[in-house]
Amino acid sequence: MREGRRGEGTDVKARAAEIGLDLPESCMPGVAANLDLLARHMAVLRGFDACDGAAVPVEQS
Amino acid sequence: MTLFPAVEVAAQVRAGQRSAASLIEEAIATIAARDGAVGAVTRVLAERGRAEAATVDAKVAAGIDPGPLAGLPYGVKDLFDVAGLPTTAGAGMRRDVAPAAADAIAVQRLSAAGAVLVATLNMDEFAYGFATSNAHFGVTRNPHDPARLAGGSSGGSAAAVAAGMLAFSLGSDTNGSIRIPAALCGVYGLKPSHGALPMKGVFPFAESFDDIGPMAASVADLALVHRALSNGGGGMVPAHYRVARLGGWFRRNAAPQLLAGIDGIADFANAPDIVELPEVPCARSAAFLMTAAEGGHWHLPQLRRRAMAFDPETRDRLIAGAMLPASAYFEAQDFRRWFREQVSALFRRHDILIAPATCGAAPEIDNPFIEVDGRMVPARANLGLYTQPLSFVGLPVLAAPLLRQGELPLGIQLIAAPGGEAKLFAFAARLEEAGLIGTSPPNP
Repeated sequence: MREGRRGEGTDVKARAAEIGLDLPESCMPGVAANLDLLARHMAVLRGFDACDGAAVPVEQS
Repeated sequence: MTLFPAVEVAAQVRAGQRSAASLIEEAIATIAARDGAVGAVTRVLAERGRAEAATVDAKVAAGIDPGPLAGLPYGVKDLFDVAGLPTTAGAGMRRDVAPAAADAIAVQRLSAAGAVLVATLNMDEFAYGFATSNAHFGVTRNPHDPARLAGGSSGGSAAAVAAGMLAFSLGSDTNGSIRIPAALCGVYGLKPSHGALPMKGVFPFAESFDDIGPMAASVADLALVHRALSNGGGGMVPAHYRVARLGGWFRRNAAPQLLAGIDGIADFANAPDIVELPEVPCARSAAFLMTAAEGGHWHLPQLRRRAMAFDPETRDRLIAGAMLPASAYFEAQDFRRWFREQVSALFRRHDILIAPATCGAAPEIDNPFIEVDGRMVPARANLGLYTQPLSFVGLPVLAAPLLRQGELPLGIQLIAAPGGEAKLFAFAARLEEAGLIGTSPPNP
């Protein structure tokens, strides 16, 4: 787990460098947490199937 | 404490029964007396306000109509250009930027309608948050309970109206930044159809979603300001509307009192249908991703130069957004096209949809979390649960407070198809007249 986190940190720094950002160490935890959050949103979006679902009445009271 | 009856007061000024000069002095005194406990106002523009008030009074004296907003003191979220002032966008690093050369178009239209600008108002840094907890300009407190958040990012705009300091205010809404603070502070707010109101002179956040809109203490006041902002457009279209409640995602996690209020409105409107939009979680996620990518991209040059000058929470969110792969952004755009078609289909059968604005009442400042699906999650990032999926496709939404005397405010969203603002105003006016929605002054 620890190794994994260290690896993730290196990856985050490298990805930041690709867009010209020299990521200060103090930003790492916050940026990593936000990247995790965005990854979860990407996963939700990638689960989308355009064939599912339609806007229909589901309940009458 | 009373809220500001804008329509009545403007009529009195136009008729020469009340002077704009007296109103601006009252507003300055009220801000001085009340804002210490709220923290909504970042700058009092006394000199400008007195000059604009004098212009209004001179017109009245000369027999010239000063306009429909005659003498009304108002404030703008700190991201509207005000000539001669730096546009901070809630960022400490922008305190010393070059002053704006001209007012934002929206401010120009309000001035032309006789309104008097007296304050700039607090917000989350760069509008990225739902809390108005600002590292540089402080926390804006909820006038109904100063231990609670006002909501954001236009928290100062909502709190200033809720505290009776201003007749109305302007905010901006990308993912809920007008609707959420309006709901938590118990005032009305309008997020117009995307692109309906002028954005020139407004500091951007995520341009494909950004809109501006008014906040006020009654439906009539909100409609009055909206007409001035839209150069005389808008108005109300009374008619029989096909109304339905949004179900599924929009009822899960909502407080029982909020659902009871919405159900009461449905009974009143003879609207038994509960309809469900498909794939709402995807809509929220897509909105989240596009906002992060657009905001991160916009701020990337400053992040490269001076990342440590940002509010740490804003900075880390923006950096993460700037690092998103382009494929995520384009997938979100593809989804938006599909989702917009589903929404359009729903509006072929219904004119107005009703949903909660937030899950419940304002969270505590010292415990800024809300419960979603049984988990406590940060309010700053998650209060937009019910607002994000709607602004994602540019719908006009009128946020309105359920009428709840002496209790913490709960707000709802009245939603129409693009261009449907007049329907929203007319329906909201009926609900207000029936005593189902309305503002309540905070307890003294």
